[in-house]
Amino acid sequence: MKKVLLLIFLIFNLAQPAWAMDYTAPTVPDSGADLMPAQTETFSQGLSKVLGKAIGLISPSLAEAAGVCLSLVGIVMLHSVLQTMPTDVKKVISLVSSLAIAGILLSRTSSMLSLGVKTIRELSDYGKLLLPVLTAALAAQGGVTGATALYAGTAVFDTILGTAIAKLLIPMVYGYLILAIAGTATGSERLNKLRDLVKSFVSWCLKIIIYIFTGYITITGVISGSADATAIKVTKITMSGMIPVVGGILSDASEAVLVGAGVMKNAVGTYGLLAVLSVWIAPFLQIGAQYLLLKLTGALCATFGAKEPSQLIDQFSGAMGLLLGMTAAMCTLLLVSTVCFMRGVG
Amino acid sequence: MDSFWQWVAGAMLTVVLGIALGKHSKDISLVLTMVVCCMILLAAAVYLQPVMEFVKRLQTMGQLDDGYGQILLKAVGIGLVTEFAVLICNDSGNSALGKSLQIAATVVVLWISLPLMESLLDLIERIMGGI
Amino acid sequence: MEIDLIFKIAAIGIIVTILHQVLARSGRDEQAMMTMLAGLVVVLMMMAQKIADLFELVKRLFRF
Repeated sequence: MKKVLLLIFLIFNLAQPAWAMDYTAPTVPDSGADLMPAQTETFSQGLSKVLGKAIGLISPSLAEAAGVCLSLVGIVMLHSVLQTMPTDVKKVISLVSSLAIAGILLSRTSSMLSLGVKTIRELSDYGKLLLPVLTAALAAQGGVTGATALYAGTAVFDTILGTAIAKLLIPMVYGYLILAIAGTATGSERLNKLRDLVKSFVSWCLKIIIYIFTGYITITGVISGSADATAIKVTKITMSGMIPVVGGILSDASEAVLVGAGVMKNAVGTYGLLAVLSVWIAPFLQIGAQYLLLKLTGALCATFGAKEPSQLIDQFSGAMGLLLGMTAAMCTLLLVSTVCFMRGVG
Repeated sequence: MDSFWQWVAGAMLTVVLGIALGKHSKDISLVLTMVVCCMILLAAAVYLQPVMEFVKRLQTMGQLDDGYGQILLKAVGIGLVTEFAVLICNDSGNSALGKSLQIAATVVVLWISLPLMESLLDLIERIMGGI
Repeated sequence: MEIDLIFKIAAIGIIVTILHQVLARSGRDEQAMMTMLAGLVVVLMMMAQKIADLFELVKRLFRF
C-alpha cells in the first residue's frame, strides 16, 4: 500500500508534460531569403552554403567602396602637393581637403549606418518570432524552468540592446563623426579628446550589455537545465522501477517522445540559426568590406605624409568598426540564446 | 628628365648673374630672377600634367560628384601661384606685399570652398533631422 | 628651358649698366636714366610674356 501511494505521489510530482507538437520556425525575413539554403541537413553544411552565397552578393558593393577609396587617395595626393606652400595658405587648403574628404565619406557612412540599423531591427523582430517557438519546444522537452528563464532573459536583453543601439549608440556614432570632422578642420585638441571619449563610451556600452547577457545565460541555462534533466531522469527511473511489467516500456516510450521533441527542437533551432545568420551576414560583409578598405586607404594616405586627412579617414573607419560591433552583438545575442535552447536540458 | 639638370644649372647661373647685375641695377636683376622662376615653374607644371590626369582618373573611378575635386584643384592652383608671387615679393624686400598677397589668397580659397562647406552642412543637417 | 633667354636678359642688363655709366660720367644724366628705363622696359616685356604663359598653363592645368 505504501509503495503504491509513494508511486502515485512521485508520478504526480515528477512527471513532466512531454508531447511532440508540430514546431516550425518562423520564416526568414525577405532580406535573408536569398541566402537561405533550400534544405538544411546539418548546421555546418547550411552555414557554408549561406556564406558562399553571401560572398557572391557583396561584389558590387565592394566595387563601389573601392571607388570611394580611390577618390580619397586622389584628394590626399593633391593635399600632399601642398606641403611646400606658405603656412597660411597651407592651413586653409588643408581645411578644404579635410572638408572634401568628410563630404565624400559622410554620405557613404550614413547609408552604411542606416543599413546597420535596419539589419539590427530585422534581427530583433525575427528573434521575437523565433524565441517563443524555441521556448515552447524546450518546454515540451521538459525544461520548463530553463525555457522560461532563457526566454525572459533573451527577450529583455534583445529589447535593451535594440533600443540602446537605435536610440543611444547610433546618434553617438554620428556625434563621433561630426566631432572628428570638426576636430580635423580646426585642429582643436579638446574636440579630439571629446571624440575619443565618445568612441570609448560606445564600445564600453556594447561590451557591458553582451557580458551581462552571456553571464545571465550561462548561469540560468546551466542551473535550470541540470535541474530539469535530473527531474526527467528520476521520472524515468521511478516509472521503470515502480510500475511492474509495463514500467520499462513506458519509460522507453517517454524517452522516445523526449528525443523526438528534442530532434524537432533542433531542426527548428538549426533553421533559426541559419535564418539569423543569413539576415545578418550580407550587411555585415558589406560594412566589413568598407571598414577594411577605409583602413587600407588611411594607411596608404599616411605614406603620402598627409597626417590629418589620413587621421580623418581612420576615424571614419573606426565608426564603421563600431557599427560592425553593434550588428555582431545583436547577432551574437540571438545565436547564443538559440544554441542554449538547442543544448536544451543538458 | 634631362631638363631637370638644365633647370638646376639655369638656376645657379641666374644666381651668379643676378649678383653681378645687382651691384649696378637691382631692378634688372630682380626681373631676371622672376623670369627664371617663371620658366622653372612652367617646365615643372608640364611634368605636373600627367599627375593631374591620374588624379582626375581616380576621381572618375570613384564616380563621385566632381565638385569636391574641382574645388580642391582650384585651391591648389591658387596656392602655387601665390607661393611664387610671395617669394618674389619677399626676395625683393617687400614683405608687406607678400603678406597681403598671402591673406588675399587665403580668403579666396575660403570663398572657393564655400559650396563644399555648404553641402557638408546640408548633409549634417539632414542626418540630424533623421535621427 | 631657354638658357639663351637668361643670357639675353643678362646681356641687356650689362649693356644698360655700361651705357648708364658712360652717359653718367660724361654728364648726361637724363639720358643715362632713360637708357636705364628703356632697358628695364625691354626686359619687363620679355618677362610679361613668360608670366602670361605660366598663368595660362596654371589655369589650364587646374581647370579654372
